[in-house]
Amino acid sequence: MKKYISVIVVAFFFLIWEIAARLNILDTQFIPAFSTVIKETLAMAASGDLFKHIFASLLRLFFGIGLAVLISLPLGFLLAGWTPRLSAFLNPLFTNLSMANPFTLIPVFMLLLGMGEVSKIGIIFWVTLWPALFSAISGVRQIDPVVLKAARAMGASGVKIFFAIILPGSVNRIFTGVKSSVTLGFTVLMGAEMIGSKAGLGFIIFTSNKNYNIPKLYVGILMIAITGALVNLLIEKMQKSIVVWEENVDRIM
Amino acid sequence: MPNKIELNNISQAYYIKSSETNKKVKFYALKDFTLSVSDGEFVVVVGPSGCGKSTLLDILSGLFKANSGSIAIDGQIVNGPALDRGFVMQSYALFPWRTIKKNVEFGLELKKIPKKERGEISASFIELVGLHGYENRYPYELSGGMKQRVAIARALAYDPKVLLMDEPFAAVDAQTREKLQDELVSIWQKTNKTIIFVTHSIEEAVTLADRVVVMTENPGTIKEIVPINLPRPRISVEAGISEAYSAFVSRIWGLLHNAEESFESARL
Repeated sequence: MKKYISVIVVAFFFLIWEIAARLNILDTQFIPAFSTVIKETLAMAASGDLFKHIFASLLRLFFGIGLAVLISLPLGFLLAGWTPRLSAFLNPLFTNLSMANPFTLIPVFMLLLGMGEVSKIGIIFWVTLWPALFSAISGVRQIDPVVLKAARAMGASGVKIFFAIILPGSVNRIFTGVKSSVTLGFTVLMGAEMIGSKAGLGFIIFTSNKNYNIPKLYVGILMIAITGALVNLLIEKMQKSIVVWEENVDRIM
Repeated sequence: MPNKIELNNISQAYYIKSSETNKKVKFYALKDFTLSVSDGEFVVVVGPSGCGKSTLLDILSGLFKANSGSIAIDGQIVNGPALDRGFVMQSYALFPWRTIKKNVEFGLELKKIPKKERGEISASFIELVGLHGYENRYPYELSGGMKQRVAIARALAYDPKVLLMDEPFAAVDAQTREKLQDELVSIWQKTNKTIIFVTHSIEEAVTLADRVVVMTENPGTIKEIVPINLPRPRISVEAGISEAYSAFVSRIWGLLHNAEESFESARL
């Protein structure tokens, strides 16, 4: 039921947009009608251009976020599980670093890593690292100590405790963190692809804006929103298929 | 017959901040605690909260090392946690991400028992605690009483010699509690385990124990050991509660209250 309602709400939004454009309530020079944007999207899809851009962006996100997860998870487990005191010392530093506005950091990354792919993936990595790291740390911390005590009382080894307790005990929280990472990754994509790229959803927005191709600009905006939502949905499905042991909140409400 | 468990002069102290003087004072959770438990015996430890009952079990489990004293099980000095002891806690401590079957099999995995055999053992213990049909459920789907049954099955499945139980029935409702007590006694009679059971309920102690160890608070020492030589079952619908049973309850009640009074006067 909830699913249908959200589909209806989205459809209603596009309908209002279309009507407002047709009735000239919107200045179509700046906000073209929804149907115009769709027409442009279909044209780009037909030429194959659209998929080239989506693929380029997804590839960058995949490497950036993948690297962030690959580094943040072991680091988070290490900090929370084995060196809690060090973790407490580092926490303010991490919080400050994570608060740095990613868009202001883009020039720094360009300076340090050049104009190529490395700096684009680098900025995505930097931004998405923090939610994943924080979720790994808090994921370990929120494990019920009584459960750990039970495993230890049976003489479980460190390796067994890691795989049988720490990992499953924190996986739900980690998924939530990775979802925030993906959202942030899509947000920063536009900035990362502004300079020195030849393809990507951010590139579409940047070049259309420069060339005053307004419908194409909206294609970029729409595609970032849709791809981001789809990737998040995919991760949510994964989360639900892995974390089967928790009471499903949706079912109660 | 040699004793199963020997506790020799166990002492464990903490430093706590006194509320009156704001100075750190030494608090003896256990002091010179000496107790012998024979094979297959059901010993219940009662005492006021904070008297060191739970500390005693933590030390027995091997999770904590006492400041001084030693513990031996079957003549072997206890150096840390091991599968010769099973631990059942008040808050169940089930693994939420494991099914009932997989919870019960945890200790068997540690023992490196092959999968097929694990399945057979877990099935028989799940049956023993009356949870047949719930093998593939997750803990969140179970009531408190059922969760504690799983915890007991988990602790029994890897065949420990000794069962340590830390107020296991304190979190369930009164009716379930009586039922679980009955079940525990019958499981104990079937499996012949040595049980050390901690509770603050005097009735529970008299219902379950071969011997009741009455403790004092700060220092945590043994006030008296009361053997309960009553036939089992001690409470039944037909016979009701016998006078002898009530006599034990009031005797232990008296011991506990004396203990508290003397503690009060010692503080004044």
